[in-house]
Amino acid sequence: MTRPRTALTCCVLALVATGCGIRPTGVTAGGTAPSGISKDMRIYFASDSGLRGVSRPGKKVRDFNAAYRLLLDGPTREEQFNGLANLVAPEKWLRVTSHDGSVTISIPHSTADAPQDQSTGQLVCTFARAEVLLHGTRPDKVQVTIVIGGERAGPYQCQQFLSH
Amino acid sequence: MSSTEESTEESAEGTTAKSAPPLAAKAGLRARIRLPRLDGLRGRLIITVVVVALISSVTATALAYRESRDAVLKRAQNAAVEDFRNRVDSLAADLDVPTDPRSMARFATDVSSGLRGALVVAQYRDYTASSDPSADRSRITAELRATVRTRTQVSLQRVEHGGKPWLALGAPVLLDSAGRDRSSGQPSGVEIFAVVSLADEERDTAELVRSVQRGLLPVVLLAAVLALLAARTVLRPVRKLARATRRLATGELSIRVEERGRDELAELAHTFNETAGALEDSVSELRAQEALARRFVADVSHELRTPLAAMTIVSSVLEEDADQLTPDTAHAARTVSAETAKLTRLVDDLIEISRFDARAVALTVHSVDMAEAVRATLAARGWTDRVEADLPPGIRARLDRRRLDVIVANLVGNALRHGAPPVTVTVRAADDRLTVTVADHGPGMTPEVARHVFDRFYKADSARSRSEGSGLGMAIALENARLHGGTIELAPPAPGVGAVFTLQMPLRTESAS
Repeated sequence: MTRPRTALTCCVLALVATGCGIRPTGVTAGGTAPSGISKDMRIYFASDSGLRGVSRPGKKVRDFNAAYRLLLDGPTREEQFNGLANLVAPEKWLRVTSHDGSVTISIPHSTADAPQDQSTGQLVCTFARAEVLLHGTRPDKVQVTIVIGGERAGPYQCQQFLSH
Repeated sequence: MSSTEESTEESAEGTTAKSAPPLAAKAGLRARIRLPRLDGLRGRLIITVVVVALISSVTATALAYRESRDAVLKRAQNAAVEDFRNRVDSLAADLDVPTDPRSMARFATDVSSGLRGALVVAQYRDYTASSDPSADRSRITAELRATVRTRTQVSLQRVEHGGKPWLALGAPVLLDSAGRDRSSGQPSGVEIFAVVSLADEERDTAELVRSVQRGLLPVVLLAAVLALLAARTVLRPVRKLARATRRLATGELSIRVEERGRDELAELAHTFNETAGALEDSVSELRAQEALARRFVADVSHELRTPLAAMTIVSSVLEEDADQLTPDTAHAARTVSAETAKLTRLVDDLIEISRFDARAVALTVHSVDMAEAVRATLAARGWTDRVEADLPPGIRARLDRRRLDVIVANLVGNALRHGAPPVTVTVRAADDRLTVTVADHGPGMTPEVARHVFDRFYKADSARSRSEGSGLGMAIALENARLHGGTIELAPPAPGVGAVFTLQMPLRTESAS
């Protein structure tokens, strides 16, 4: 009677060795990490599907004027091909100041019409991003106010202009 | 010679006297074979085959199961990692660092919607965003978090949670490194985790096990049936051989078994047949020799009878006239007469026992009154005064009166010669058995004597080589008892009693024997 018992033990051992079901494992490697997050300046352009930001890697932004210049440079050829356009008209006297995360865009003499929705978004989001990079403010703490002539608009948050 | 004679006698006797016990044993054996015994050859074969079938099928299943499960899991995990990386890659472009909880939550929800609604947790510095804030995040182990923090690659870990398997994925999201080598990308500080369910994969592999379980019973049954068939091919010749051996043992020396095939069992059957043949030859040779010897004794006895008859007449005439002879001659005449009478008795006994040996004896059965018959026996030999007879009246038996006389005379004569008085004869009848007990009050018999008391020419006292008996009396008594279907037994020695012989036989003996 010992032989069957031994055989049975073998069977059980084989089953145990195989292990039923799916067992937990330790941590294993699964290939390269995803990438694509940007820490550089991002400027925003208008498109048919709403406001879209594009990054400008390698461009150092030392002040708000640099960001404004990047915006006025407009989309690259490739970005134009993708349907991006700059709706912001150049304003010679545009001044941007910030205090504790509150950004104020002052346009003393407006030569153009009041900013349209997307162009306002372009200004708000681009300067908000510049504020984050210049002063390290948390993105959701940045508030942008636009003063045209003596008329204040805002404060806005970039989030309001993003379609999704 | 004497030993072989004994053995052949024993085997010859086995066929007749011991025919009842082997029959019962045979019936018991057959009943045992019919029962499904697991310690027999058949049981061992079945167990072995079934166990081998079980081991092989379970082992094969286990290996196949492991392979397929690992393959399924590997494919599922690779697909999950690929999906995860692609999804995060495509969505990371819209995320900037430093970032804020709201963007992170949107990012997590977007990643989740591309991963079949898996739980996605994004972490940046000291805040965490989850695609499903109410979900339990303990599936993402501290171990995985630590690995993700230190290594810039996708890490994965299978965990069990709530009895279900999950695959937890985690990776630091690198900064956009357009144009540059991807592997050299800098970590952005955003870490993203996803927990994907492996329930589908578990169900698939469990289905495999279930289908094997369903198939296992038929496999075992099939193996058992095959084992039974295999056992039958082996067991049938073995059983035949066993039956033949038993019949050989009961004296059926002409038994042979069929030799079929060329395997070991056929070889065994051949050896058995050879052995049985050799045995039969030697036994028949011995029997022939023995028959020859017995016939010689019978012939010699017969040949001696005629001259002995003449001698008896002459010696009795001489003895009658002894008074007229000189004392020396008279003594010689008396001695010759006595020795002739003894020789006549010896020859008669020899003739009697050779009739038994030749089985040329028949019973002449009458209804006999036991008390009267025993009394007559004692009276005929002049022993009435020397023997105490306990003979209850009214016991009647059907038996051969002459042979009863021989038995009683031999037992009593033996007791008178070798035992000490008083000698008692007791007759009893109970349950269709007749019992005649002859007891003396001598010293009894030593075990050595008791063992040989029924042997032919056995002398209890070797110093007294010339006793009055022929040395055949007890053997003849026993043969007569057996002829009636009875026995004579010597009671075991007891203090205060001498040798006690008990004749037992049926109260009614069939006349045909």
